[in-house]
Amino acid sequence: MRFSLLLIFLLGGHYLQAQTTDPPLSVSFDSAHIADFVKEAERQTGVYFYYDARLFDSLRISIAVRSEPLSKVLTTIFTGTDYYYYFSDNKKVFLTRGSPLQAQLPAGYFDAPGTKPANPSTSLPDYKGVAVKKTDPGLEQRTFEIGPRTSVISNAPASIAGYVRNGKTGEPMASAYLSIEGTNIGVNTDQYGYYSFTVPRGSHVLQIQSIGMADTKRKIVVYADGKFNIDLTERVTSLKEVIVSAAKVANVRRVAMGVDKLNITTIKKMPSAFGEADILRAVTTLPGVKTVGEASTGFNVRGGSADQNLILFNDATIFNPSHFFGFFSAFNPDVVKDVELYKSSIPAEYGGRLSSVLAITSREGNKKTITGSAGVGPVTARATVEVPVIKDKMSLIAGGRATYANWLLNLLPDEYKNSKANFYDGNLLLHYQPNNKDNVHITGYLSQDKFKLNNDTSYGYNNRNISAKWKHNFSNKLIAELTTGYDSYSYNTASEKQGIYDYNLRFAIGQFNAKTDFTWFVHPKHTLDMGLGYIRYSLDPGTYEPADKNSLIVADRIPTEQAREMAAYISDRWNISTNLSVQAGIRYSYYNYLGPTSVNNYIGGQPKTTDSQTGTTEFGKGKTASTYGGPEFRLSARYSITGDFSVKAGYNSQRQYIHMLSNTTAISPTDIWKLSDPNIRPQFGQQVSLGFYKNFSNNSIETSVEVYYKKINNYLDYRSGASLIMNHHIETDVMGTRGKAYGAEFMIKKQAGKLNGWVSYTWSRILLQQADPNAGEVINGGRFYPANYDKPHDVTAVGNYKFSHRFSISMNATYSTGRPITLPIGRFYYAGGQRALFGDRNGHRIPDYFRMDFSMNIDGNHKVDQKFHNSWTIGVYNLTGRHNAYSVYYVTENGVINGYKLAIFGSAIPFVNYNIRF
Amino acid sequence: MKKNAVIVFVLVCFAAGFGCKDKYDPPIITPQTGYLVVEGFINGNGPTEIKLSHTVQLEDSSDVKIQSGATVVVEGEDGSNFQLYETSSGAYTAESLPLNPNTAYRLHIYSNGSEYQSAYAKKIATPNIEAMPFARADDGVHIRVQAEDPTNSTIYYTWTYSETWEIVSRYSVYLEYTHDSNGDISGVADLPPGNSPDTTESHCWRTEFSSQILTASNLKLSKDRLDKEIMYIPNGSIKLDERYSIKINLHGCSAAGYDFLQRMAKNNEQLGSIFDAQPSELNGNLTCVSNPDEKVIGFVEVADGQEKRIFIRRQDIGGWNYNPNCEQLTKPNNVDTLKAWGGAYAPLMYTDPFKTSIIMGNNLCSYCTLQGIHLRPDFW
Repeated sequence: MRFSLLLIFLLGGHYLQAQTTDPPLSVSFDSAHIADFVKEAERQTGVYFYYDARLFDSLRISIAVRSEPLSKVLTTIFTGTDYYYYFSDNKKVFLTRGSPLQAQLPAGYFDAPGTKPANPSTSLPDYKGVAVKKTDPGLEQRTFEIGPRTSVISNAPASIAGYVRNGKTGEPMASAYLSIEGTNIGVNTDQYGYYSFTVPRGSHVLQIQSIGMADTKRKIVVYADGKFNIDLTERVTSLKEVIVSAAKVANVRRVAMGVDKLNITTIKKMPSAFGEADILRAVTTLPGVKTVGEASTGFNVRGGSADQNLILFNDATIFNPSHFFGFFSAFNPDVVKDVELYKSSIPAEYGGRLSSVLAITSREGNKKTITGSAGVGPVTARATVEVPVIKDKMSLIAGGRATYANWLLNLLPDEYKNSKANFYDGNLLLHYQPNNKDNVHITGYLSQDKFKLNNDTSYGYNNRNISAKWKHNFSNKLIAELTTGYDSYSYNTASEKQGIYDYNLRFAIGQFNAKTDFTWFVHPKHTLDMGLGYIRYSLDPGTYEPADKNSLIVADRIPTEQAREMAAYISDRWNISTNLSVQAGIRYSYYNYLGPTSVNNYIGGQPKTTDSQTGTTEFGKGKTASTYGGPEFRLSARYSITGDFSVKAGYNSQRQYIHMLSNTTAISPTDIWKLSDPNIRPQFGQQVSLGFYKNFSNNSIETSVEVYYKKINNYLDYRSGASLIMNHHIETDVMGTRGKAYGAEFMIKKQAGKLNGWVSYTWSRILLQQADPNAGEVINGGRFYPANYDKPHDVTAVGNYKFSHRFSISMNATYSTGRPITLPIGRFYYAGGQRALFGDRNGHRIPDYFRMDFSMNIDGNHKVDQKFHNSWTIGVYNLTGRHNAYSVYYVTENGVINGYKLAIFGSAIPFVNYNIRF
Repeated sequence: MKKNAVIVFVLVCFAAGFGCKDKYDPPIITPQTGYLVVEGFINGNGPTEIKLSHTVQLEDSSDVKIQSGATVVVEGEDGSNFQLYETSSGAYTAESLPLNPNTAYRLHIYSNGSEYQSAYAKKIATPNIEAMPFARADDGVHIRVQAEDPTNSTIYYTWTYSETWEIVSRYSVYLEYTHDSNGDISGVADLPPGNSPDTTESHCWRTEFSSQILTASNLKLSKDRLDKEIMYIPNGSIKLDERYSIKINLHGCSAAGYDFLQRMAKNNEQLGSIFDAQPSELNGNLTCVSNPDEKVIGFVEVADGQEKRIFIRRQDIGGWNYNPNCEQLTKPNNVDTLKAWGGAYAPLMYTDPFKTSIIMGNNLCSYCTLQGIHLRPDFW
């Protein structure tokens, strides 16, 4: 008896208002199901009922009548409900829910074949909406009851919680947006697909949206607190326009500002150098994120330096996220699910870096069947396998990537023929969900780079991380997470064949961390996040040893450094009214630099130099040599002016106790990290920001404007001629500077439709100042000078156009002002050659940067039952072949100063990538 | 590090297509600077030479703007002072100065109405140069410098070198072209008496000076032993075709002076890799007394200078094959032929007493003056 509205038209129902047959009926029911009623009514009257049983499963009929006309009986039953009935001739009764059945076609329906009705709102139900839905209509039509059913539904709110998962693989759907139709109530799932929110009791329509999944809804009746899990189906890419519903307003309604999220599908479609889907490069296309150039995956967020970004891979801190001197980022795109960048409202649970948090989340693995994928590109090959260790409960992903870039080296002239370059990374991800209350994640990460180019020096560096997380839901209202892990980074360089000068240099940093986080849904208006964090650092700043017995190098070792950082935070998400929400958090961080250590003392009020050093103070094991700490505030507020227009404001402060020391502009493998100690103070940053968010065209177009102003204290810059490697008194080579950054970011984003992508424009400045002669040297006469990643104008466009669900093209274009450099303003003759006389630090700029990339994504067929699915990515990086300057420099060649412009890519670079998945 | 970075860049460039490094002239006009540049050190073990010049605009066509007419005095903290005299333009010299090792000295310069001073410094002892061994390797000849300070106190070294080599023409020239009033070749004639081939075009010498900043630090070594390669002569170089000499001038320097030279070297020779470091400000140990804001470039050390010269003959190394691609022709002795070939070939001798034909040799193998000067150095 399943019933389709469209069927009515096929049956050719006539418009007949009068009930030609209205037989009498005598029944007596108490809380009867519709089926019982229909059975009895059909028996007595001979009328045939058409209805969808699932629509009526929550209807209970209580009626006692004697020889009343059927129409009157039905009217009595349905009064006060959203059920309707319709009599056609020849003894048919159609029962509907939501809207009465219209048997008449709208005017003009047949006038223009193939076009939509001129006025589709003429009380016709939205048939289109039904027709294109690809999800199981049964689930959408059925009514789910939450909590034990009661006859009377109280007005008190109730909390619902549960998981949103991919119905096919069982993977959790993070950041799915759930909303109650007709209200402002909405919530996003967390990274485990878990959601919890409070709704008024009663009947609701719950809408669920998640990127890449078909939109769906569930009819629910909330009687009391309860659980409700939702399985989503993947969106089968349709040639028809995807209907965007009115609830895609996360960007407008979310309280946090300055949050950008990229999912791996988007990243994989973006053209990249050598066709390697590059997670960090994709991040640099976001507004407010800059990079100094191609040979660097270090990035700068809103005027922050590269070390002011906390890069987390499943809560593990990655110290050097790059391969091959920064050409590739060290994350395997096949195991990554999405990337979230917080550049303004940094949640109180995160701390320790000034500028941003980049949270990279891995996929959870298929819990139903073994699947895998593999890909080859010009430089790397990768493979991933996903195994359901325990069906529906435990999944394991093992992924690996390795390079075969040696063929590139073999192309080089003979003088480089002994060169070797080698890198790989591996991931092991385990997820165990023994029940609905517990989730355990274990992440193992390793990345390794090795270079042996045909000169005397070889390099190696690696990241090793392990983290474990246990999440437990005590109830719908209280969730706890316990995370612990160990993160390490080390590098070594070695020199050979120089006889007495051969050496081996090692640097290492490790941190043990543990944290616990609680989320407590206290009240419909209040959600509390709170927790504790602990990090124990141990740093081996340098070990320098003779490489062999002929070497005269004296072994040297800078004593290890150790410190602990502790933090406690509490944050409240407070929905003051439907229009106004506030998130207010405070984080208190406390830092101890610990012995055993020997701290150099300097004469106060004088530049720290070896001459002003007065001696050292020894601290025993575990003794505190210095203590820093203080509160950090995280405030943001959102006011909705209309449903698709909001204003947000925020204030943030941050403390950073660990510094990366580098006198280069990019992250390089030999950068060292330094802990704050009695001579080097922690960095402190504050940011105020204001944003406007407005959506257009049914929320399919998102626009935003954000402005910010930021102050940074104790940002470390280097004295001229600083020596950072194997320096026993590094404080004499660095100095704290003050910085200020400000800017405006404009973004237009289209998320749905055949054409999607974004265009962003950023205007921003970052200026530093060193005016205190006692801190060392005064730079540029104490005036503010631009940092070397200050690029005021930046325009980026990222677009993808789907021709069909097997073929799409992508295009990126980016323009930015050239970064500042220090140029020579004159020359002089010294030691037999011309030498350059340099002007003010960062007083000039390299030429502006412009690049366009293009790629085509070709998928094999989408037959669901096919064993292997393959896809090709073909494209061209740097389409225009422009020689973008990475740096400009001057060298003395044969006694003459020549200026050169160095471009990383000197032509357009075509690439092909092949991927397969099973 | 930097070297490797450059190679990686080269590698990517290679993979991606050439043309990554372009000549670049910034669209800016550099300001007039004209800061004083002071080069040299106060020598406690030999003659002192201080060179004065000025910084110039980047676009300036002159090589170096010499500062002549300055007064340069070495002053001791004990009140002693020694005047330096301008022996050639911009070079102020004094013969051996009787420096007291326990006294600090400085340089005091009066130039163009301004007054400049270096910081007082005590003399840095420099060990004698033990040896300058050379070794034949597959790729050429490597020359090293070796010294050791038993007191482990010198630590930092800087040096300059000058190389001289003798060039012997493969062919002896007995004839010369004669020219008409238009300067065109009109014939050949015997060389005038006294101009035998030995003294004119067949023996020349060429001298070149180091043009890089050369330093060494033994800070990280267990003893203050210097053992650095100072010269590499690749296979086939003309330098070892006959006889070669290299002289090194070495002196110890202070940590600050070493740092100054390192920065200058980095600013000029090591920039422009992928991880380019910031050029750093060049603050030496000189100040302008009359205008403290005016920059002065230079770092004047007080040190014992050491020098050593070695000679290497071709037979000392064996198997040296310098190939100048010599070519001999025999051409009829008439004006048209001489005009046609005379530009690139030298007239060596007649083939026969009747002077009907002339043996000619290519210029490079006939005139050593193309590669050096015909003046025997006094140390040769």
